[in-house]
Amino acid sequence: MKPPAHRFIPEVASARYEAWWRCARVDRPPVSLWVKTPHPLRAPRSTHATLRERWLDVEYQVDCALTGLETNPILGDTVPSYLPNVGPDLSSTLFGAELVFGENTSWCQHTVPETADWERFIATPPDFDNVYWRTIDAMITRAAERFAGRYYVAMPDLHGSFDILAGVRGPENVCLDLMDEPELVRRASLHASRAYVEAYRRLYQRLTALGQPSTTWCSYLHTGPAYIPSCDFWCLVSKEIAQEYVRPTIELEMAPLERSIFHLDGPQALHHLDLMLRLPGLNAVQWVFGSGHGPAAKWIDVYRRCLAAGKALQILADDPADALTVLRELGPDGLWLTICTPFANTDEATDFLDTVHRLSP
Amino acid sequence: MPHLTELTAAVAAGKRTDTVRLTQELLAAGVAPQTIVETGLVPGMAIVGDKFKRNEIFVPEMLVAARAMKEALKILEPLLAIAGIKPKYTALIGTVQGDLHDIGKNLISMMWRGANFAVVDLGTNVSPDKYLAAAVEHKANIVGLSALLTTTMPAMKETVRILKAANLPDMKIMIGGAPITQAFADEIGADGYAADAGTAVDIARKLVGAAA
Ligand code: B12
Repeated sequence: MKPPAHRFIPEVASARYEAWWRCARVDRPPVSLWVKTPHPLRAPRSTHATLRERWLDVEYQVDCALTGLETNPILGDTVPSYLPNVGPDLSSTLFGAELVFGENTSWCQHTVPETADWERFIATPPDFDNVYWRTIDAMITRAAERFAGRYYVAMPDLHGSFDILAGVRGPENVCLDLMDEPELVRRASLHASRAYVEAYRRLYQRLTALGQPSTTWCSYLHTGPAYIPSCDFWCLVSKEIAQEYVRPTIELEMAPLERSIFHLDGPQALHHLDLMLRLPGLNAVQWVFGSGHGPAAKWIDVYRRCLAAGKALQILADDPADALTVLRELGPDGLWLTICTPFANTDEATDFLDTVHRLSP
Repeated sequence: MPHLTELTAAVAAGKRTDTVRLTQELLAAGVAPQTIVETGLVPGMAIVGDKFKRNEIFVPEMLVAARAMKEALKILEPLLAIAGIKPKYTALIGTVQGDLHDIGKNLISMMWRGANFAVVDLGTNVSPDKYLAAAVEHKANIVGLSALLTTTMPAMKETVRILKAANLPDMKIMIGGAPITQAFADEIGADGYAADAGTAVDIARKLVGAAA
């Protein structure tokens, strides 16, 4: 049988992802990979006075994205998309948090100084008219104009309830508040979850109006609402706290979704694996073992537990050999392979795609 | 008079009001401040460290225990100072340059304090020169470096290089943080590594040659 084409074909990739969400398969598992560009990217030159100006310069950001998309070969099922981005604390800005920008990331300033200030937080409706949301909105508009249907605009990175609380108050303070005033924290967490759901709904409508399926920084496809529930904060707390306080927020945040892939981050979060696997309606798991804890092949037992619970998996493999080890161990059903190190050239990448095809009878 | 074991249990459970009350009652009954620290509070934090190591408790429970201990120390430290009693060993701790994560570092700092080390916390984003200057100034027995980002692991390596080059007597370097491994510690020439705050106490004690 002739191996399928190597380049990204929307209908083919889409069919592979739609099957993958259900732990099924069309031909081979979906594969995301990148190739080192032969010549350095000619990124647009920044003439910005500050990092903040650079981050919030819509035209410049879309320019950079386009340069990348136009220079890189787009192979396999790697969704060619642009992520409108101001950093991971976008959701916290709904509650007045200001972002501070670094070279590669941003973080937010705390706006809830004392435990009692949660009452004020709970009384505050989310502000979708702040500078960061307006910038994200403008990025979506501008990208859609310039891409003219050639590339996708991805759903921005939204962090959920307890990560919002940690953003506005600091994670250690949220830990202490959970011990001192658990009911107050519960109310604040549900308030944050409702804001998150509202944020997701608004962005989803905005992006589907462009006539495209769901995709985000983790490059799946689905026609209908799909997203990545997550909670980075919960690596700090016990199973009991996670079950009692965090779980209801995640369930609320998953309610609008037809498809979901949980982002489970770091070995310290692994003690919540069972709780995560019991989340109603969860389709898939992205297990991020983190650097120093790889390769993916080391985590076969965790992957098996997810598959046994009927969840599909995004495998974040260190390199092609790592991905193939996992594929041989687990078989192709329910796997989506992502190769985190770029291939040296297109030939190596296409050879890899053929090998995956061969190993998926 | 309350028993010292009651104080130990109150600290371990993170009950700050009880911890303060028991400390005051023990003092009023004539128990020496140093005894209260060494036989009452320190064993409480040791219980906390062990439970954390075994994943029986997590960060919130540890933070409330450390907060209880801190409140008790607020009462005891002035008395210890008057008596001229100081912890035997000094430890420095900080998160390396470029890194702003400090929850893990704070837990190590609390546990070392809980084990009766004098701890100087240099905060986050600490440059190699700042570590060195502080190590000299405080005659540190242990210098602890924390890093949570792969991108700041080189800064850790550089800090270890500079500290080692200074050849300070009796100074040992310990490193830790989620991406750090024993292999990395060996590679960059750190004297000790610990994966969690409980073990960090055992290793620090071993490095300074203190009895466990
Ligand atoms: C909380 C958190 C934050 C908070 C930090 C708040 C704070 N005040 O510390 C905020 C939101 C600010 C943040 C920011 C960023 N973060 Co962050 N963060 C985390 C998170 C969720 C938890 C880290 C944590 O506190 N763990 C709990 C503590 C108790 O564990 P620990 O630090 O490992 O410490 C234990 C041991 O390692 C050891 N230990 C630690 N230090 C030391 C030192 C010594 C001497 C010894 C002996 C032992 C020791 O003992 C501790 C107790 O047992 C992790 C994800 C995760 N699940 O781990 C990401 C994570 C560490 N962050 C990450 C990233 C990328 C960032 C950002 C760059 C991007 C971003 N904006 O999110 C910025 C960086 C800012 C900067 N320049 O530092 C990545 C790092 C990836 C990598 N390997 O490089 C992670 C892994 C998330 C991810 N998968 O992407 N983060």
